[in-house]
Amino acid sequence: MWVYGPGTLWVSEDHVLALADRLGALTARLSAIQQGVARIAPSGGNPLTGGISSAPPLPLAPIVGALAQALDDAQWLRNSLVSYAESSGEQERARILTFDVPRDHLLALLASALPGDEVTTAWSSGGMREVASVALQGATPGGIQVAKVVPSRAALPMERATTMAERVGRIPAGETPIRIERYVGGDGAAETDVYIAGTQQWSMGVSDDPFDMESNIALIAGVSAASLVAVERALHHSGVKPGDRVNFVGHSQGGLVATRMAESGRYATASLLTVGAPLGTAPVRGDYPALALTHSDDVVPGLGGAQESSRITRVERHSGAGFGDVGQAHSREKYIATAEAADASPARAHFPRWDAAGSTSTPEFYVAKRVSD
Amino acid sequence: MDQRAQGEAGQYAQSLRRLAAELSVASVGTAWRSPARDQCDAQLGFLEEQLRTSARRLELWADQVVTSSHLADML
Repeated sequence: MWVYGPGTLWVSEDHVLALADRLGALTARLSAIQQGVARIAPSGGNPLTGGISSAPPLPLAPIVGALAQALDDAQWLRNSLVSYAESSGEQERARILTFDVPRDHLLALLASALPGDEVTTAWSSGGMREVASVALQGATPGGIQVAKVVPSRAALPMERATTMAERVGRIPAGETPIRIERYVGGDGAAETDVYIAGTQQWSMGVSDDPFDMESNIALIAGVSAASLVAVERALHHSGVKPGDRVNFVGHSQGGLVATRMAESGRYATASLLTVGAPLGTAPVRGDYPALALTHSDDVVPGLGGAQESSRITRVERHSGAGFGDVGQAHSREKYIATAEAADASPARAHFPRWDAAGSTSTPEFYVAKRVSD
Repeated sequence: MDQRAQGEAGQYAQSLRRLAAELSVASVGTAWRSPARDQCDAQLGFLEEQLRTSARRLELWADQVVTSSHLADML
């Protein structure tokens, strides 16, 4: 499992990060011990009897010196691990340059299959974001209708999700793409968790479902998208107001919607968690905990183009799916397993925490559809 | 006075042994494959040994400082 810090400046296998942390804590304790040993003051001894003793006390100074040497060694090892992680970051940047550029060229080639010469021009002038704008051909979200789903059985209040695996597991699948949970914090302030599903309609063109490919293209272009409007309406329907604290969680397109909303400034973003989301043109700039889980064999995150400089921390690993099984590699189930691994990672301290045990909420589910203007 | 010094030295020796024990279970994982990983493992082992040695020397020092003190008292 690899961890990429904000702006891809930090990259490391999670055990390396954890070991560097552990050595940092160890050097602090060792330093305190060394200082304590240096302060031990035995009695001066009796000069008359000191000479009679067959085994005069050992001097403490060599022990203090040995501890100082051990402290230096521990600090050196910790610094070496940090340097290793940083140099791995440099290598990762080189890898991105080597592999992402051809991938982007491939995306450009696919995009060039769209009618007109504008795509080629857009690619050379603005990259993926510009290509998406052209491919959108001026389309707007149009009319969106959202409706709260009335469950067949009364929904029971649930404890708030505190782990990444629980959060990813609550991302809805299927016909109710938006899930909202509202909580009241210890300070009495309201806080909302919104879970957003991924693409529901994979065929090209506009469909009745706001979570379609047109929304994907609009989100990559950085303009308003039907799925984004749908989530905003669902939040409004649920009673969430601009400025309220919101935690965003999303899979695939839902992760892109979550990121755009987290960055919109409309809400007080408390945190962001995305899985398998194409975030290339959606950098995180805000100062809130943000984490993206991606699979190295999932092609979807790469469809957003090369990652613009972002504050988001990325955790990446292979999904474990069979070679070429892109559906499994992108599946929510595989991402739940990755989230479980991240929860159990020794580098867990580097990831956001959601400590709100005890608070409960009854989840609300929303459906959305496009309607004629 | 020397009993207090002995107690302090004994406590620090115990702390050093605890640190060494923590180091002995520190892992650099399995995914990191590099010659640097072997160096790191070796350095961790060396550091653990340094801490155990210092702990032992502190315990010896504590024993001797008290023995010496008792001998002086008897005389």
